[in-house]
Amino acid sequence: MAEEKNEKKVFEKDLDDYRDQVWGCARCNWCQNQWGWNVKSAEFSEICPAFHEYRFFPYSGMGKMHMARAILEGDFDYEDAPELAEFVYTCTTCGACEMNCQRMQDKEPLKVNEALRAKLVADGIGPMPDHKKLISSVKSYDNPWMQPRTQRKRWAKKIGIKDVNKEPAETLYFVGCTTALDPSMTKAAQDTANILLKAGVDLGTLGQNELCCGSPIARIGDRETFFELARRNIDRLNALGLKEIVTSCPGCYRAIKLDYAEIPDVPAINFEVLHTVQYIDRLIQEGRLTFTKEIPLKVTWHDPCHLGRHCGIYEEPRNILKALPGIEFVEKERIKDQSWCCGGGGGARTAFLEFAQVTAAKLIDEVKKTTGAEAIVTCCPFCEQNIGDVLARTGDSLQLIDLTDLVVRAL
Amino acid sequence: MAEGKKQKVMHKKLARDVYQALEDVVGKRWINEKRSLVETYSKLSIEGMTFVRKHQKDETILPACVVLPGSTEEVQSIVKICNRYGVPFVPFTNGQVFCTPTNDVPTLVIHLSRMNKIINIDAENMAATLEAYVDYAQLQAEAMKQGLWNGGTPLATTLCKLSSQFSFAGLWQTDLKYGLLNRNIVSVKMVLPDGEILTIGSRCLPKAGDYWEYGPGPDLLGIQRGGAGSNGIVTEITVKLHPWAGDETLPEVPHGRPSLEDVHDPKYDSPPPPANHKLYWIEFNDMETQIKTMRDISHAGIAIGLNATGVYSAYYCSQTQEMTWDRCENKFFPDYNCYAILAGITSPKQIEYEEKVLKRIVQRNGGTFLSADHKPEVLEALKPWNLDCIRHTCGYRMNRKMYASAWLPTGPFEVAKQTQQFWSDALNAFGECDITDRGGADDTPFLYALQRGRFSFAEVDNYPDPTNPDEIVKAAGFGVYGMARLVKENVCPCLMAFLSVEPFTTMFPEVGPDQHILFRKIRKVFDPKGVNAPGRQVYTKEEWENAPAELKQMVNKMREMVGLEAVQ
Amino acid sequence: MSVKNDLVDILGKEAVLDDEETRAQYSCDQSLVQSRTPDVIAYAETVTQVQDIVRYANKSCTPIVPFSSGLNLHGAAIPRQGGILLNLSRMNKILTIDDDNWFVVIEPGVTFQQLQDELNRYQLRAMLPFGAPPPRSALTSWVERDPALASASFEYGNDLLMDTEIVLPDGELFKTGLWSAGGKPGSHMGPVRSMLYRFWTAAQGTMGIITKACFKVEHLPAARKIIAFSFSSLEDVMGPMYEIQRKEIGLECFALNRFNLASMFCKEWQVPDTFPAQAVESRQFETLRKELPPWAMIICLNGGPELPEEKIAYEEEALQEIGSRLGLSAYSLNGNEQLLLDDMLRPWNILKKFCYRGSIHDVAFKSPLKRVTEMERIVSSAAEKQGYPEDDIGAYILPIERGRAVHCEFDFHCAPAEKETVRTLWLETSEKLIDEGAFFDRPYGAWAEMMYSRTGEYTHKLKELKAELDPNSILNPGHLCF
Repeated sequence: MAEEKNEKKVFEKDLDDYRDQVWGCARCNWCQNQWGWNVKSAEFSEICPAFHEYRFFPYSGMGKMHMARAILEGDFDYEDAPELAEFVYTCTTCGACEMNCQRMQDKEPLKVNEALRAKLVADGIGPMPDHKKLISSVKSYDNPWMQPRTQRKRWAKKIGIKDVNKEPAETLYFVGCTTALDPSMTKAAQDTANILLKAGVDLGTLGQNELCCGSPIARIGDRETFFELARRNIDRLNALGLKEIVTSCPGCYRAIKLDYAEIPDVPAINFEVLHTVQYIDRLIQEGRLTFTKEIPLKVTWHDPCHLGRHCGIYEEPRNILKALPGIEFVEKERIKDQSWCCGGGGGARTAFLEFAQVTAAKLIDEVKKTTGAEAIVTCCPFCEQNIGDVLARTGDSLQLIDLTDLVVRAL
Repeated sequence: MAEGKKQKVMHKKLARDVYQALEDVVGKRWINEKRSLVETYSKLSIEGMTFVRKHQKDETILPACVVLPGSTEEVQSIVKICNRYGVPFVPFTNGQVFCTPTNDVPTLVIHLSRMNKIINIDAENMAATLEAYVDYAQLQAEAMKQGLWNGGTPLATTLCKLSSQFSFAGLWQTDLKYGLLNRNIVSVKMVLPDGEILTIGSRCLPKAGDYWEYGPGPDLLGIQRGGAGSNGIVTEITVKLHPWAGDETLPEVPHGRPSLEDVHDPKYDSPPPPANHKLYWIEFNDMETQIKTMRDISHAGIAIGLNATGVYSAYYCSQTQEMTWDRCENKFFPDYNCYAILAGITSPKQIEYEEKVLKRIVQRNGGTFLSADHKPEVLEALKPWNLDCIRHTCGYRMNRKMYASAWLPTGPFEVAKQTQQFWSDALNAFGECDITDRGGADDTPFLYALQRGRFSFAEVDNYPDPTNPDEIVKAAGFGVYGMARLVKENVCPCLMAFLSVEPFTTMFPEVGPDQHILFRKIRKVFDPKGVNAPGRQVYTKEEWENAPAELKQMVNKMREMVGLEAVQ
Repeated sequence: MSVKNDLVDILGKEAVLDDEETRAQYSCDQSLVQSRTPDVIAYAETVTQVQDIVRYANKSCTPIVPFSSGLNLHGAAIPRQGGILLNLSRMNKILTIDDDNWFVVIEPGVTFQQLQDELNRYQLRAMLPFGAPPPRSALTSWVERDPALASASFEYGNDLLMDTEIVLPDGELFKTGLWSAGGKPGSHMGPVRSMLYRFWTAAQGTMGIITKACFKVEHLPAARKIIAFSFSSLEDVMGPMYEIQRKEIGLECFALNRFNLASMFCKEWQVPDTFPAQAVESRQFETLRKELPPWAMIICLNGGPELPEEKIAYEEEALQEIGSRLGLSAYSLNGNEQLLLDDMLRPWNILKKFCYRGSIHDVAFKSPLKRVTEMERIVSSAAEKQGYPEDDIGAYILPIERGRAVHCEFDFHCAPAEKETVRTLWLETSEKLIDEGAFFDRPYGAWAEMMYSRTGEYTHKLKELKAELDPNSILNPGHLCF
């Protein structure tokens, strides 16, 4: 087929722009399974959390492509298929399907699913009822947690960090809603700030003026709300004259670095975007952080989807872990582009908590069976929330540690 | 676009008492008849006519219901219900081909996705027993931990399930040494269409164990293999394992892993070969030299795999369709080539010996190795094969556009020349769908060497546009023409997809001859009530009489075109 | 009209015999199968004649017993219900030797000796089973799944049968493999992706008569080397056999106990022409079987067509590494190397074992490698119970496909006067073995009832297929489970 490259931005595209792809889905099943060369066991060979759990095809990336084709061609409508939204939203948008599909078929099942979600939202069918609360919170409070804006700066009370609303800074610490507002996550914010300040970074925050980056809204399919958030963020951040921003949340990282550029009619950002792990790795390479304390611990790294698979940040956290004295680092079986999702993303945790937690439990199971590690280390508030909940509920002895915690311990 | 764009396509459901009976077997969670769900079980992978039927808004391609059994006993219960109520059923694994309803009666799809356990790996007896949904990658990963492997993976994908390959295919890149899946089955346990459980192989005798593939007496494996899912459902399969010379896992690509941002960078597709394995690429000036060299290499008893790659390299080793087209147009890959996979199973000295012999043969015949001194850029581009030759992963790049109408003529190596000729005739008669229809340029087919060069398969394919039903129909026409031409020329179309199914079984009575008469008798024994994909492999007399006239006309038209008489 | 007269109309007078003496010749063989006489012997020379006879048999409901050489030695060609003994021995052409693609097309009357001699002229060889008599029908032997001596090799000793031409029970002709499409032979695949040909293997002619078949052959190696190891017991053989096979060393590999070794090396015995054979006392045999090791494993390294000595060299080195690591005792063949090398191509010396008592009633079955010694113990204890001397049992152990399965043969020697005693022993041993899971995949004679009474749905489906394909039950009725 003489397919012309579509020059539209991702968030300009609707389902019709994926017509060739959804017709051409080859049903290779790579959206459900780990890239063949990397499979190390039968037990951990699959990669789609939804298909792994539910075993029917609509839960896979391929299933989304087929359903999208049928909707596009009018083979059925919403009345004929009231179950459609549930299939579409039982997905963490981890992108494992798209990873392998791109590599194999050059098609985009994740983007198709997100376009399908956008269509469902636009047609009043989506999102799921619990998602609507999330959207309403963002609209009312600029965060999805229904927390007053002033709560955003509480974590920084005892830390001497610039308020960029009052004075300029070279580097903005974009904390992220979950890291700032979830009490179980705020230590990560404190550790991050302390590490960077100790390294002499000219660091500031927006405090209560930080807005939600819009990532959860984008994933759910409410493009209108997402675009508005994005515009506000871009305007606000561009006006600060920053050299760079560093964020703790892979969702924010991906949204600001990649997603904003795919929104039509918005200005480009005028600063570099880095995640905490990139920044810390850079500081270590530059000799601005030295480690003096041993941490005798066997750990494995969990690649957050938005950081790893979506953005290719694999080596930096591993470099950091290998630089920490006393740490014994082991890999689990599914890593990097083939990492098993924690279950926390894509709105799955909000609308399908059981599915999200079962997915996290499988990740924990993989760690235990394939590494012998004492701790899972990661650097993502969504991952840590979801995995943390399961560990707490089961009383598991396996630790879950944010990477910044280990760095602080070693300094 | 097909007429009636907004015309809905609704599936017929099962009678409620049937649905309830099925739900009582598997539980509510594992049965579903919802519209959007059945959609995902209807358009198949390499069966072009399912695409056409989608364009035509044909509702009969939709299953009535999908059920997921968790055990052989549940499969048996389901099949017995189908027999009791006269409900047709089709087994389903990945959905490559031949798993849609065969008529307009509401049909049950039995999806085996829950049965995905490796039941046992018997390292001592070198055999692995698998449930129906276990794929090659899973099997290899587990077997390699014990110094064994299964002997190859299909060129389609490592995701093929061995149980469904039993029904249909099983072509590997290492056929030279290990043969096809045919050669590598120890036993199967299957639920027959009448609901009885049949075990074939030594395990049919109590206390015997699962290690011997034949008998007692006449071997039923031969009858059951190749039924295209119409002679029962394999719920367990025991396959042979072989000594594995490599490490417990396959090597990582030195350049690391891609992300969604840079997934098409070729550097991620450049793994080394497994430990104790080497892959050599040889280029030739013409097909005669290619064939002679392949024959000599086969007979020399070296290498575990030997194949000439046709257009496959342009697909497998290209990260985008644009690259594929560009490389075809510019003849980046040699028209005539082969690769040889060497493995040091006995000792590292085996590879030394085999290298020496390989070089001797190639030099004698006038081939040239790709190397740092000769086309290094091509050699670099071919690196995906380093692991694909063992665990084929990139195969579905062939479907990036759409892969259809495979011809797979079988015979001695010279069958490649015949295939090339017939394919050229077909392309000249009907026109291309895509530049890649031309094979490894010069219309050269892929050529697999099997069982020490005893025979080979050549393969050529079309690549139509999946959004264009006329083009898909044209591609299907190639397939029918190919069958007719090969039968006319007495070349065995042995593996050609459609010849194992109707209406081709009946409409090519030359094969057998009258294979349909024998298959009808077999069908009568195994599927007396005609519920298992009825008419897929062979029609009853009545089904033949009621088969669509336009289908018969199309086949007869091709028959007459090549000089065969029409079949009434 | 009589059957004979009807057949004379089809075949001509010279091709149909019903005199008592001739009929008696076909009524028994050296096995324990009860003697039964055919009504008439008919010699077919063409496929068309075979078809005509089968059609006639259907019309007249007359049983047919296909016969090619009658050297199955297990009673497969003894009629159960009289009828026509269809002698195919005159269909004895080697139709094609393809030395490009290494296959041969033969008729049922072609013998192993005939075939091997002819192939050697082309620098080719057939892969023969151990102890199949020289005049045995090659086609029938391979179709009946007699395991080749080279069965240890996955590639070269197995799956030798490719295309077949079959006269079905209704008289119609059917072809499998590449032949199914009407062209040249050369593959087992076909029609389409099926492996139909396997259905007619080990069928003892009950599902059809194979009138032509294509088989793989191999090149005649320019260099070979025999290496042997000695062992005190079969149990000691198993571990090293496993390791050697996992390294894929050698083409032929098998183990023999001292009885069988002594038989092979005994120069006072000759390979018999007929079976049962004439028993011959031999002092040399008695000496040998005291002096030879209890067990020997014999491995033949074969050089490839290219640089054969170098291939042998690396395999030998790998073998020596295993031997030295496991502390194996190399067994000096004392001048018998050439005998063994010859036997790899013409494995007939073992037939001298028939000279001990005249007849042999073996138990031949498949076992997994790890249970072989268990099976040996079953045989020994059955023999002990019956008072049969253990030293008189011949044993042959053949790993198949690098040891995934093992073909086991244990011989009970039998003089005419000992028939009933040996029969009892043989029946009891067979039952015990089958009860413990020994797999008699070629169920000759009494083994048929023993196996088929235990294999449930498999038996049921065979019967249904037989009823569908041969509704008049004309092909070898009374054999297998029919």
